[in-house]
Amino acid sequence: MFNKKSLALVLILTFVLSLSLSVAVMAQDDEVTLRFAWWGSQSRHERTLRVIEMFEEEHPNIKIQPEYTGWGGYWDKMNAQAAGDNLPDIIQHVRKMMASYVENEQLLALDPYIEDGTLDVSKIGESYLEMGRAYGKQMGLATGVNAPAGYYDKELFDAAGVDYPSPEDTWKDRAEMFKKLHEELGILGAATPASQEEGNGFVVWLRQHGQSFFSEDGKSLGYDDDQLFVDYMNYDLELIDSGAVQDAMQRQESPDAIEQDPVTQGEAATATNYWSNQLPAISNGAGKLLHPFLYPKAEDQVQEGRFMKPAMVMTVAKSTEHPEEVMTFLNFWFNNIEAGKVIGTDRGVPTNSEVRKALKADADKYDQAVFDFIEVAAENAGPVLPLQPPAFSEVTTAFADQYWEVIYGMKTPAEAAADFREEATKLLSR
Amino acid sequence: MNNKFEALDTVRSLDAGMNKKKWIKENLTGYVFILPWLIGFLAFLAFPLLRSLYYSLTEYTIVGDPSWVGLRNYIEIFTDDPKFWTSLKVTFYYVVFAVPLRLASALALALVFRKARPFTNFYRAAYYVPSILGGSVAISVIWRQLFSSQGAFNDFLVAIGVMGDRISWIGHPDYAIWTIIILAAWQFGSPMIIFLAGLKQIPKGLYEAAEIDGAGKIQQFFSVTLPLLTPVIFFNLIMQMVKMFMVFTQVYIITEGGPLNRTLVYAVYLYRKGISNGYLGYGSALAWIILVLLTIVTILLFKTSNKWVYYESEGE
Amino acid sequence: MNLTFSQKEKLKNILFHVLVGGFCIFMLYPLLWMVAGSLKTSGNALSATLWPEAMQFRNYLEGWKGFGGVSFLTFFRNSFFIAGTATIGQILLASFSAFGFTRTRFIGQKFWFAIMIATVLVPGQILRIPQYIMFNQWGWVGSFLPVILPQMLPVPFFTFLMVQFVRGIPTELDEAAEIDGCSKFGIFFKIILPNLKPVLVTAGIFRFYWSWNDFMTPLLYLQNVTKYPVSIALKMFSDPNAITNWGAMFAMTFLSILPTIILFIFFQRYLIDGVAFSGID
Repeated sequence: MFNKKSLALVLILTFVLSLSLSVAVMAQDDEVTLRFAWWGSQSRHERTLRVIEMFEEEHPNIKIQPEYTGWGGYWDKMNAQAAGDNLPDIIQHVRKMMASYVENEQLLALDPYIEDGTLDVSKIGESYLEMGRAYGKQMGLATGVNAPAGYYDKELFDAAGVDYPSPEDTWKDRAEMFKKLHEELGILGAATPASQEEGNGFVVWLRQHGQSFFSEDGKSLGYDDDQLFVDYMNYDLELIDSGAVQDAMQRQESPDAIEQDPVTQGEAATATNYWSNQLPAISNGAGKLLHPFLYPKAEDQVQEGRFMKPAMVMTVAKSTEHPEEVMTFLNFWFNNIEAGKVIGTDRGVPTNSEVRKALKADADKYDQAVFDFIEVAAENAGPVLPLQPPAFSEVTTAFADQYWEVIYGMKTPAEAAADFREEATKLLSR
Repeated sequence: MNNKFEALDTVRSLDAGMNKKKWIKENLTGYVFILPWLIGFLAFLAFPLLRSLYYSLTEYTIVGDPSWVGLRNYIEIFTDDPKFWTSLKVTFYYVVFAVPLRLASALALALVFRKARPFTNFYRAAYYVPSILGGSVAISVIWRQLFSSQGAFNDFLVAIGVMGDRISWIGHPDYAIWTIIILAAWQFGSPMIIFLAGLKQIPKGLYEAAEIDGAGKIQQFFSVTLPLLTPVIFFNLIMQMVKMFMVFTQVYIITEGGPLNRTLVYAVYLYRKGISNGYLGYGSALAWIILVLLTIVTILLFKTSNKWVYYESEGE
Repeated sequence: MNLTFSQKEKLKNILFHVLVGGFCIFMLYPLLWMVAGSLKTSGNALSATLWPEAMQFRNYLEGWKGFGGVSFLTFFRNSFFIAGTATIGQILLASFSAFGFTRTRFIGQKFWFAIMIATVLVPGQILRIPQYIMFNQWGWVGSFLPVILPQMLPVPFFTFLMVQFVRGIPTELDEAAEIDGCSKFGIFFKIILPNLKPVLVTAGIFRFYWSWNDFMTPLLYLQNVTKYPVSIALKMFSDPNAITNWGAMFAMTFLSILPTIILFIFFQRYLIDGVAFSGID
């Protein structure tokens, strides 16, 4: 009926593939290999790989295994690796995602290595170091700084006879500016009056009124008076009514891609929801230099609410088996001037003062504009944003839900304010 | 049919002694053949599935460890999660419209392509192309362009005088879901193939007989084609329903669940909650709920199938 | 007006081509638009026109270069490897088990068959994290194993189709072979497998297409860029901080769907013959 030979054949067929594959996997070498994960675009990949090459030349015993992807899916991948205790040694992080990683002890505190001199941060200013701290510990180093930025098209402003935006503008001034641009040019003043869905505009607004988005312990909202929410939404609603900004449906249908932003198409005079390191990209999209501008001030502001933040944070997995070698790499990354020149401003304006100086010396038109803007932003920035609590992304989603309800006219700002408070409180108190 | 074999089995096993060795051999042979599948099933499916059942009873965030909370996730989902209900509603709405529409287009085109004419092969391939493109970025860009307020769909409606004003189909809370339903109806390639196969297996003699009885083309369709095709329709219905209940990519690339969560289908919500927000325990509970629901709906459909699906074997 | 039979047929044919051919544009539009986009200059790639103002193939050269020195040659090779092995594995596993479920008799046969069919209901998302943790414990993360092996597990639909097919092959053939001294395995390889050709092709094409397009699994499990398949590489063209090179992206997307389209055109006949419904019950 059947014989041993054929039985063996089936079993072999079943496992031969898996075996041959595992052999390929098991081939490993003796030198220290560090895994380094980042997301980015083609140019970032090329710059980063070049730096890795330079590093390996200098340190032949350390091999860096690059693990790069696009932004889409990066966090799914990191989260899965965290769940599997399999994080890369060096992780390009963002501040808003750090809290849960720190709370669950996935990241290595750098303080001991700074203290014993293994990691040299002497050229990095205190305010920049602060950007990598969480719960009082140095959990990473900011790759560079970013400020929320709007961009405007100078030619259109000239044509409309409207003053360029200035750091001293108030929210009211900006509303007038958007309306005037709209009236004079027949195009949008901006797609949105500020970064709305992601909540950055509201964060600035709250800080200017002496409040914050999250309370200090991260267990509740940081403001008590829902009127702040209501006023903020009304500001947007009023602009929508005037036609100076997009209405709800237009915002919903507009694509996320930077090169399709209305400002790059000449359909809007400004864009408001970007960051400073996006200047080259958005200018390339428009085919000309678009000038950056800061968020406005509040008329009755009690403190400076605008902020800067780390573009990204370099963090180290707690599970790393080679902390010494990791520090060697970080030293090279942050302190080597040649490496810094290759990295450029792609990950924000560098935090190392010497690297910054070297970069500034031979900056092109776009980079020069970024440097100038960051200086202005630094002069007009309030305290560093506290670390967002782990429920951050869900609270932001809840905020976005209510924001859409309001601009679609499904809820009044007051109803939305109350609903948001209820939902956020539930999420944060867990 | 199976009973007959079972009876045979019994006879064989009664015939012990001499046949016992043979019986063991047969069993062994059978298991050897399904062994590769069995191993794969246990390792890659059954085991992870049970594990996710366990996770659904824990509080488990993506960077922490699971801790037992009993039924808390399920209770919260049913009593304190409006988005769960929203996503269920959206998903049912989508399935109820998208599945019949896709099957109808698939059947219609299968009927058109049934008869071999010049270029039929090319046409079939061309009509399959949308399904091959699946959820690629080109589809997302085109769909957004097509149904935006400046898009071609509005051009068309205005030109034929259906509408005076252009509206944003993607951005409108009531219509956004329909852009996705239309996409589903347009990607009908695989059920079309299955219908074509089903049509091919209908004996030609039946049509000839119907023609002799004086039945016209339309009558033939209703008296021969449709009844004989019911098993295939049923099969397609189940397959597409299962698929569309978990629709993800098409929604994710076009509306991402918006506007106002009116296109927040279940799989997108599950993804957001379980993967993006990192609540693995909660996400596992959501996944198990849809699994149970899907099973119930499938069983119900099977129950109704006795009423309308025509089984050839009954006549034998 | 009286038309002869052949005139009627001719008219019908013309009508068919006008309608079906006309509608074709509607079905092919996205593909044509994408191909046109891949030939336009990158800045214009998203414009609505179907005809590129100046035909140029730069996007293909530029896109092919890939990312950070890893070209699309590598990505395509990986995709072919992943989809190819998954397809072969799936075909073998599905036909083995189909044979087991029909031509052998064993305890629990009905039970396992029901289980196999029922797995169609299991949503893939539910398995993702438990699978990840499991594969990580086995040390498989970073290799092709967790990407390929689970995809070899037959889709129930195909095992079902094969079961239908095997049932349609007369048992007299088996018996004759058995008398000739053929083992069950001999019967499988000599008689059943050759007769399964159409359904093997059907199952193969679909598995190939699904594995080829799968994005999430390779993204989660593969770490080294040199192991990435095309599906991941295509996503790497867009980044929120940079300008998306649409022209290059469309060029590579088009190349990436070519294998599926070619397979489909080439094996179309089998695709339909491979689906047998005789005796669903």
